[in-house]
Amino acid sequence: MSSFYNNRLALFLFSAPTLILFTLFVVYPLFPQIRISFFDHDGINYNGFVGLDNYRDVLHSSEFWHSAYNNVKIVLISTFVGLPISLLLALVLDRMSPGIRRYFRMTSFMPAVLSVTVIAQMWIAMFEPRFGALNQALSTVGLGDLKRIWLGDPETALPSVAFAFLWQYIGLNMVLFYTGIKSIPKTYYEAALIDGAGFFQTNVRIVLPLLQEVVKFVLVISVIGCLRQFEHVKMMTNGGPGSASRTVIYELYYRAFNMYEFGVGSVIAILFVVACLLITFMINNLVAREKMEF
Amino acid sequence: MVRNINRGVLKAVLIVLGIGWIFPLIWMVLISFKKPGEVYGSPFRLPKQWIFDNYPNALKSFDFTLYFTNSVIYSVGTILITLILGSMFAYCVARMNWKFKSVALSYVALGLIIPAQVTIIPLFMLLRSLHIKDTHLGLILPYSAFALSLCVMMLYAFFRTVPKEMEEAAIMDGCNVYGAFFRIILPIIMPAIATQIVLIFMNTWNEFFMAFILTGQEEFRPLPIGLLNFFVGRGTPEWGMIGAVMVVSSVPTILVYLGFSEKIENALTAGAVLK
Amino acid sequence: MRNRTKWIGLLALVFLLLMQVACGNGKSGGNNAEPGKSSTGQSETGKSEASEEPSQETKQEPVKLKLMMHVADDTRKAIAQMMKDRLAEKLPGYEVEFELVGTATDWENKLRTYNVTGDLPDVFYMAGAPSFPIIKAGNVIDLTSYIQEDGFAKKYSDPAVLAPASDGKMYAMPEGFDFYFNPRLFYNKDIFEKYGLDIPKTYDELLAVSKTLNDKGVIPMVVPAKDFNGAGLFLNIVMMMLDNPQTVLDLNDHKIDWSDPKVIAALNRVKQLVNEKVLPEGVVNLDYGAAANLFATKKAAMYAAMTWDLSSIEKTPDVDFMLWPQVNPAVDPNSVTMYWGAPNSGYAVSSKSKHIAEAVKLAEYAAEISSFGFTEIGKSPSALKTDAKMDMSDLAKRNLEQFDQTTIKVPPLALNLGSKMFSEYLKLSSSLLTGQYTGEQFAKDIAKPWEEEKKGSK
Repeated sequence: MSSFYNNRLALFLFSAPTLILFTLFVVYPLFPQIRISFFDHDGINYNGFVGLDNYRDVLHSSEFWHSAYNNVKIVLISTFVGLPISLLLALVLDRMSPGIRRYFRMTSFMPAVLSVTVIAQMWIAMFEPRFGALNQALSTVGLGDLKRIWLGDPETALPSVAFAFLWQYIGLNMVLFYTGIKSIPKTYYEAALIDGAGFFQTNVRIVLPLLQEVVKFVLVISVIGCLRQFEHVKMMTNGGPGSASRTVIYELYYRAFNMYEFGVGSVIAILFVVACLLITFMINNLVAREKMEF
Repeated sequence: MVRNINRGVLKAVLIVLGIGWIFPLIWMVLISFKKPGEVYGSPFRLPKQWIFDNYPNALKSFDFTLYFTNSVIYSVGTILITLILGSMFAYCVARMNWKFKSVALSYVALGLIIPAQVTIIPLFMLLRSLHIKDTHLGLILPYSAFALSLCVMMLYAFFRTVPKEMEEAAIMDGCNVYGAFFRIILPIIMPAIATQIVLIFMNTWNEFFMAFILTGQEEFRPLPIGLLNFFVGRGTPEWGMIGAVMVVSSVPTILVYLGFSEKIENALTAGAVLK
Repeated sequence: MRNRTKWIGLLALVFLLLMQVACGNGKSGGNNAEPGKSSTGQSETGKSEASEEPSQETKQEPVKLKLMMHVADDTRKAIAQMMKDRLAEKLPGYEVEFELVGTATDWENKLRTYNVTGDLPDVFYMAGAPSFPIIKAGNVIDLTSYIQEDGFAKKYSDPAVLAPASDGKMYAMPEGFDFYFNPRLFYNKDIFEKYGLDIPKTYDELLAVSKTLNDKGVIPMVVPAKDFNGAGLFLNIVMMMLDNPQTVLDLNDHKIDWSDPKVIAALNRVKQLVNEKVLPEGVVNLDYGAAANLFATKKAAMYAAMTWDLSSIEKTPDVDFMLWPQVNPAVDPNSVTMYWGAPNSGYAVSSKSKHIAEAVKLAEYAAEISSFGFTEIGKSPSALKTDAKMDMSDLAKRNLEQFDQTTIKVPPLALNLGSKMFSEYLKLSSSLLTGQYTGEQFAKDIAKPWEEEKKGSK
């Protein structure tokens, strides 16, 4: 038996291709970035070693901190608004008849299935200040005061984009939670129901503790997804107005590709990866007792 | 009684939410039958006059077959490579005895947090020096590499739930490790593989950024890029045609999702996705 | 815990190994741009007929070249098709692979990436800010001697079009017509008639007319602002020009700064257009298509646009253009305009091309076809003479007449900015369109890149 699991050749054949492919196309391209981050680099030439100047530049740049702050906002909104909604929907869904469940599973995934281009274009039309459905609906129900120039106002641009993003993935997260709930053996519930526990009691006492691992997984995936946010911002507002709705990745893209400061862009890239590692580490250690293999 | 009312209200809320989610779909289909002028001014109403010509016109001026074929090649290629490599790797991490297995797993999981935007330029140069830039492989390999992280993590979780007795029985029957893996273990985790097929397919089919930068030639471009060019690249935008193109290019993802959705549920509920 | 240490150790090892590979590779990049090596598409390749020469034994391999251009508008789409169709006849023995990019943004991104990776095609269309880093990297050749020797320079009727870059070299084959593009204020005659409105002659009249239009539920004016940043690319400059053309010239020559009161006043006037609802709410997010659409469907009364759109704009019935409303009584709007062409705009030849002489020929061919196409389809006059028949509409004729009679033509300031300054300038211009950002703030925020720009130019 142990020889079966110790087969060196098989081990090599099974693990090497993945490690090589992954290292080559995902990890390796990171390293030139590290080198570039210590140089004044315009994308073509190394214009001299500048030590930590690029790092200083980024850390003193209000634009960078603004974009980081935007990311934090998106993460907070999705963690404290989006995920609870998804979880609640999943819990409710579990109590529904099979027909409704089926319908809801189908529809909730739709936004995640469609391409970002389509979703972004639709939300642009929704948010359009004059003809858009949102402002028109607000007028109709007599809440005209709440009308905004959603994507064109520095105050509302980021929340609007974040909302579109959130909306797109609420369904996906719900399905993940739901399948987690499904994997909890029915006997646990039955025991609780016999005790006379209601919807909330059952969930708080039984389902949530058992769902820890799923919650953690969804949390990591969703937080990282929020941090990586680029496409929605690019398509819906171009980071604007001004730089109001930029995220870190957008800022990185702008500094490197628009301003030709590849050294600075690399610094942002490195800080980004480090931040992601830290955050994942924190979630792993703070959210649940058991460690997730990550 | 109160319970029933609550249930009814909840049901209604869920149905409305569901409609909200398929709204983009409805929106797209509506646009595809509208005249250009109607789209911007009243985006969410039914067309005053149904224009059916948008579809044939769009397909005429948009090389759908080319982009579609490319998208299929990229998706299928990525799915195959990711699943074969990913399942083997996940298996040897979950089952085999070696010192660095948890390190290796964490290492591959890194892929979840490395955004492609960060590494696009070195990636571009790498593809060129490997002489696979502007080939189908030039996009399939990076796609697979990035898709491996999630695939490995998920399959790893599944392998851990498969009882060891399965392999023991296989060995008794005289299987070696390869036979056990391909003939016994893989079929067991088929639901998980189905899930991965859908997830990888959706990500690859809709991937935009890498495809945009890394495909230099029209003949290798997938749908999202073709779609975008069609979108903005019109003098006076013919929204009806844009809508038609969007609908046509979204159909495959929707079909794949609908076809596999039952499998996904089975896979996910088959247990312990994430433990 | 033990795992973590191993993990770090492994990473460090991989890191060290890869640093070696990474550094080695970074330097070697750039020389692999073999035009013939990349596989050529059947659909995209204009294959030339085999040479008809009787001496078959010296059967020549066709020259394989790659050409990239954007086809963001219908005219350029048609031009690209013409280039493919006529290749065999005009340039026998050439096999050209066309990379056609659908939008201006994509094209800019492509140029940037290719410039960085050294993959620029043999011939490519470049213009404005993206051209500076390409020139700086030495990735394009100076065309001056080539077009003097083969006489192509003589085909340009106006030598002004051949104006070199600031270093005296010519990096792009001008298409000849972009000089004639100018910012125009188009309007829907029927809307003005319907509400009995007069064409606004002054800025104040414009504000008054807009108020009436708003009351009637019509958007007074639209301008594309999202993907094509109309405010930054022409509206700001038009406002400066209407106040005093010298301001634009001075700013272009770095004689004054953005903190100059005249500049600030002009920027604030753009802000005012938003605050007074001349431009609609959310104009900052109005993309090209949406702006054109609002005007064409008569939802907007006026459309500030560049005249390359004239041929598609005039498809809308009852359209005309008006002079820009007078801002300063001392400046007659009939006497000033902004031209578009800038040095370094046109078809450039990559310095890494394996067939430079042939690539120059191809660039000349591309410029000629473009000029031909824009004259015949786009109804635009061109300084690069071709045998195109120009069948100008009445509107196009009047546009040209008006353009010709202006005595002061200010340069397209934005196109002359370096890439860093250009990016920041466009970004801040979009802020102006929110109506919450003042010219003073603009001047303050642009100061740093502007100083760098001035330093760099010396």
